[in-house]
Amino acid sequence: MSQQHGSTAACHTVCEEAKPDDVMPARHERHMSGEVPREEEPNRVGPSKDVPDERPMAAAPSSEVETTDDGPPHGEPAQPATNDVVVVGIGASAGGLNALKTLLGDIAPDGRSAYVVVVHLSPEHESHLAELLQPSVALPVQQVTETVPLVADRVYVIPPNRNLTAVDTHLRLSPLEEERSRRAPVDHFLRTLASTHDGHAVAVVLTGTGSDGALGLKEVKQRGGLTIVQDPADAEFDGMPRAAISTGLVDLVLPLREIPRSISRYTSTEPALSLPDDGGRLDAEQSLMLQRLFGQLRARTGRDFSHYKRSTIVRRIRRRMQMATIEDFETYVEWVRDDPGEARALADDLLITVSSFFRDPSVFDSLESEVIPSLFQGKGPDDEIRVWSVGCATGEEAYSLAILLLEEAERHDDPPSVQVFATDLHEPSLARAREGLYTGDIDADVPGARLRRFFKPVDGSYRIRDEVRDIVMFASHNVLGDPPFSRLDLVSCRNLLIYLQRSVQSDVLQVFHYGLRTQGWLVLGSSEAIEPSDRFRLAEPHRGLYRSRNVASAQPRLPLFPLARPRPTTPPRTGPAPDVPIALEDIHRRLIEDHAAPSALVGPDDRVLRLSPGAGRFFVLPAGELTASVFKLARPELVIELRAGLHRARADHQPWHSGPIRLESNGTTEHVTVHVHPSGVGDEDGFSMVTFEPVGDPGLPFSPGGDPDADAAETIVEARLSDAETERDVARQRLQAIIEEYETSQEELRASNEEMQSSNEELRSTLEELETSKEELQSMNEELQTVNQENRHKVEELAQMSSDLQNLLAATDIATLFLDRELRILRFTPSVGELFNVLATDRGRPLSDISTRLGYGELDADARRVLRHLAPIERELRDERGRWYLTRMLAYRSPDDRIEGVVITFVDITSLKAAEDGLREAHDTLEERVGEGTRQVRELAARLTGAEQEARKRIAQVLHDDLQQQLYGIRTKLSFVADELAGGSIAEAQAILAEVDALLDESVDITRHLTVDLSPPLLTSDGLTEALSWLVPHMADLHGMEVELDIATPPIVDDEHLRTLLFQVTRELLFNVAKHSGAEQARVHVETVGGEIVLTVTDRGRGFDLDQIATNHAKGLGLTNIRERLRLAGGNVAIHTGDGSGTVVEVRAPIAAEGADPTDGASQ
Amino acid sequence: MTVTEVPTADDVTVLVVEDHRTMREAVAQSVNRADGFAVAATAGSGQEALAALDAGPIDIVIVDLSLPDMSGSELIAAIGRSSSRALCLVLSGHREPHYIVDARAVGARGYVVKGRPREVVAALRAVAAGQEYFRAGAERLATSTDQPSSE
Repeated sequence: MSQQHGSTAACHTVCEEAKPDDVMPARHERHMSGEVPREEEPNRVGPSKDVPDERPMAAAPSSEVETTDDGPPHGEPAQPATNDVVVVGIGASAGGLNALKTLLGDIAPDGRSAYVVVVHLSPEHESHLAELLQPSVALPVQQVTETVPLVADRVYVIPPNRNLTAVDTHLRLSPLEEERSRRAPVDHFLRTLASTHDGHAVAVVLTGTGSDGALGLKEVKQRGGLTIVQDPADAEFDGMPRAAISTGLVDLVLPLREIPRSISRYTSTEPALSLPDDGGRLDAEQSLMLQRLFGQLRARTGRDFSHYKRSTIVRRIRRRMQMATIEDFETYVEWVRDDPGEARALADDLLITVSSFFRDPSVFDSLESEVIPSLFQGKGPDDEIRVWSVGCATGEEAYSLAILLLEEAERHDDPPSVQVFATDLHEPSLARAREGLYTGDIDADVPGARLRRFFKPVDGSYRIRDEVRDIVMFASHNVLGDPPFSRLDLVSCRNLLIYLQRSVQSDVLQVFHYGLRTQGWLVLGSSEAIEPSDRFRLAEPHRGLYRSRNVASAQPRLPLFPLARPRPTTPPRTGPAPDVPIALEDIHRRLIEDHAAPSALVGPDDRVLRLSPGAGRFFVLPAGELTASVFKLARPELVIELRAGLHRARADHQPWHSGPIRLESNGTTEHVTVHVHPSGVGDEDGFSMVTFEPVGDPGLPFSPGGDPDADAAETIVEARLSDAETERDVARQRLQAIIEEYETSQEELRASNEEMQSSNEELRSTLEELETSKEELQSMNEELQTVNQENRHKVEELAQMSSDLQNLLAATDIATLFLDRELRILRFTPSVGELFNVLATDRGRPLSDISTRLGYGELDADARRVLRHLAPIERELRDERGRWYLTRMLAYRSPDDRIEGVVITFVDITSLKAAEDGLREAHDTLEERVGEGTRQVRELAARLTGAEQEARKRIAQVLHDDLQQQLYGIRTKLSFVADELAGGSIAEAQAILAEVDALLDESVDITRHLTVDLSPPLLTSDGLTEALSWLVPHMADLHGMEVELDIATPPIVDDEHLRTLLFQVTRELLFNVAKHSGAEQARVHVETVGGEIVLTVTDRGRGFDLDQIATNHAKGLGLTNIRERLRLAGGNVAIHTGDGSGTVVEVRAPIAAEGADPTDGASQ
Repeated sequence: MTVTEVPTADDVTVLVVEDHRTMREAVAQSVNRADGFAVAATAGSGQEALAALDAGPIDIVIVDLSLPDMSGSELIAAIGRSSSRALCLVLSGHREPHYIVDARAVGARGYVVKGRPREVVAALRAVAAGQEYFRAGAERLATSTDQPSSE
């Protein structure tokens, strides 16, 4: 049967347990013959039969017979395809084409791997992906159009509008989901890949938006495959890689270029660790090594994996070895010993279970329609429904159950409270479960309505709503070691048993039975059937639904308590049993048992469960192995009837009665009839009571003998005989009495014996009760610990938040005071101490008791007003030290929006205030300066007006004193001419006219000087140089002064005002020289230096008193005016003068006008 | 051309006080050209005028109102206070009546506005004849003075 197995090393890695799969090869052959396999459910497991490792190989064949779908359980996670091709499933979406070209382009044929590319394609268009990829890929690329066998070194591409399914050695197409939003072809393919290829699968998720691939990748990882995700930083779109990474189950996150090498390393590593042989055994050396590995894991992680199935363990160890590219097992064991990280990684890998929302819809349908409604029956608001999800992994199943429970609770008016316990050993998974954040592709599992109702979308992911989260309690719990939860209505333990050895499985079931209420439900994985027993009965075939039978757990056995954990001691219960009715019932039952016909209780598995007193004589202990089977224990005469009776009674649910059966023992003969009474239907189905009723009376009462016959002939003899007979009678009677006495005492003895037995029973039941209470207490304790753990989480969160708040308060340095409704101090921040004389011990004191450094008399009144009107109050206050505070008073609102007091904050705004004051000061200074400037301008204007007056006066004077007189003179002379012409000499007239002519010349000169004085005519049209040149003869004419003009480069002064000013300044200076220095020569030097015109007037005269000149307003603008006007033009005047050493006056002004108009001052 | 002539015994001697050279010469010339009048001296300032009065007998002083060292009114007042018996005739460019009133108040015997050369001689003759000559602004004077102007 293991045909070609073992022919290659690779095949060893595939065959989990080579022995048990006699079905798989058959199926395999079917595929080979081209028939399309009908495998649909990813979770359905090849119906292989697990054989416990310890069992001898010979035991296997008998169980093989039962290998049918509803046959015995323990489907080992899917039997891999017997195919040594490693299938690399590559999922990509947006940005995928380039990524695929790069990835596949780097792959060289190795004869081991087949590549399947699944991308999101438009359903309306043909896909040319295969043609597009082929040029960059060395391997042949083909689009899958029909069912094709998987061949190494090929690339298969998904066609549009189809899902791709991996079935063993083939790829098959199936229609896409109707609803667009539920389409997730990558997930679909990877899931099917995981279920059929196990460790021979590699899942690669590349660039793409959304979260397709994350769920499939989880499955691949759980089944022992390798999971690789493109580095999000490297991916064009990081949605899919990020979603995949967030599952926490990704082995490698790599840039695109490094992925092919990793795949190749992984597939080329062949660990020299073989899977258990046909009988589930490992060779001795490996077994020893494995024990060492377990020891190390126990030491490193505290987890004991020795109860886990060897095949599972070995498969996952092989995976780790492949990841580490270590082929030698011993080397790997040494590595685990040396590297705690690897030990943890291995332990984590071993613990991984993957769960998904509403996994196996048929199971959840049953749960929703049948199981969960039944849990609500007969329960009121004071009751509780308790559910335990064992091996919850990342919490999907626990949440699914919680959702169903909540939905059912909504259908009831007064629903009972609901509590879901979810436990696992894998801490990282638990952390994820507690967070309750799931990738966006769960919408493939969760129907839209539920998704909206119970999840909130968060950045493309979904977070479970608090409503659901609150009823699920997550805890780290070892079902093999820790005390179980109790009073449960439902236990869900799916796909956990398959990882455990069979002996441990039964322990676990016992624990579940103990934890469940009577009639409680047990949900197992669909492949984890358990044998019918007196603990559980199958409620729904094929769906793994069981109900616990109403049998007391004789001894709730809690397996493998760690010794280290102290067991809680319960004080012994004193006084009578508290429950009187139960005691009466017990007495009644005992009396019935005592006085009714002997009976025996037979279980559905034909084992004798209980015997009534006196029933023992119908049984004998057979030789050989101790057994409980009724057929082996019953006396041989009864067996045939019992078989028939039990069979009929169970079948008909009717009592069955035998005819009298003759029993012989120790020479006595008795007759009994056997009655078989089936118990009720439902939960008690299968139990039967067998009673043995004796018929006839084996012990007849002693009857006295016949009367003595009186015979005359033999009177004496007869008398003697009579005497003797009398004696005999007496003796007989005495004997009878003694016998009766004996019987009585025997009765008595038996009674006391039975009494003792019953008290013994009673004691035992009390003991059981005690035991039960103790276990219950332990369970309770466990539960409390779980609650405590939850609470600790919350407390930690609170502490974190509190610390955040404290830091925030410290960072903002805002003094904050919390008051209650009576204005007593509740809390305050440290900085409050700077304002109030308040100590930590002042908490609870009224605010009014506390003195403050703030001059805030209305503090109390304000607080009351805030409480009354709820409107915030703001004030700016100053404390004794002169610091300013912005005080805000607000009502304190509790989370449910009640007013619970007042919050007062004091924000130090001293620096703000200072800045404000500074601003005000600066503002004042500016205003002052502007005022000063205005005053100066006004003064200047006044001075200019004065100067203008002066100029007018001067002009008037010139007109009056010179020109008018001249004209009067002329007129006078003309009157002489008229006189001469009237009667004098013509010659005289002509002489006078000549005088007049000279006078007119003088007059013209006067007017010309005046005009030039007022405005040099050249200046308006010509440049400064020409104007200054005009000054030279002018000064000579007017003042007889020789002026030397020295202009190297004629300056270009565009601004006419500046030109005028410079001219006037020069003239004024020359005038001063002429007037005051006594010099007859002066020199004017003009040059341009760096944008400034520099005009120097030098003389060699005696110098003059500056003050005197400055105050001389009689002539010209005067030096002060010159200074002012130059200053306005951005220039200045420097005068170097001294007695006898001449004077140098230097005038500077920027040629490029700075916007300051030198005439501005004058025009005002 | 000389400003002063040697006056004959009958001639009325005149002193011309005028700071402006051209005007001074023109006035002196017109005095000399009139029969019976001779310019005895000319002066450019008040002080020069007072010095000339001390130097020789002067009958009539023609006074300009604006002089560099004192006003014409002051000069007239000063002459009035002096031992000289000279009569004062104002020759001024101002034709505003208050100048005329002021001049008469300090003792001037006549007031002639400059630019009317022929009036100077007429005024001289009137003053020499012991009359007052205030023709300019006569209308105003008629109302403001008790003595009407001649002619």
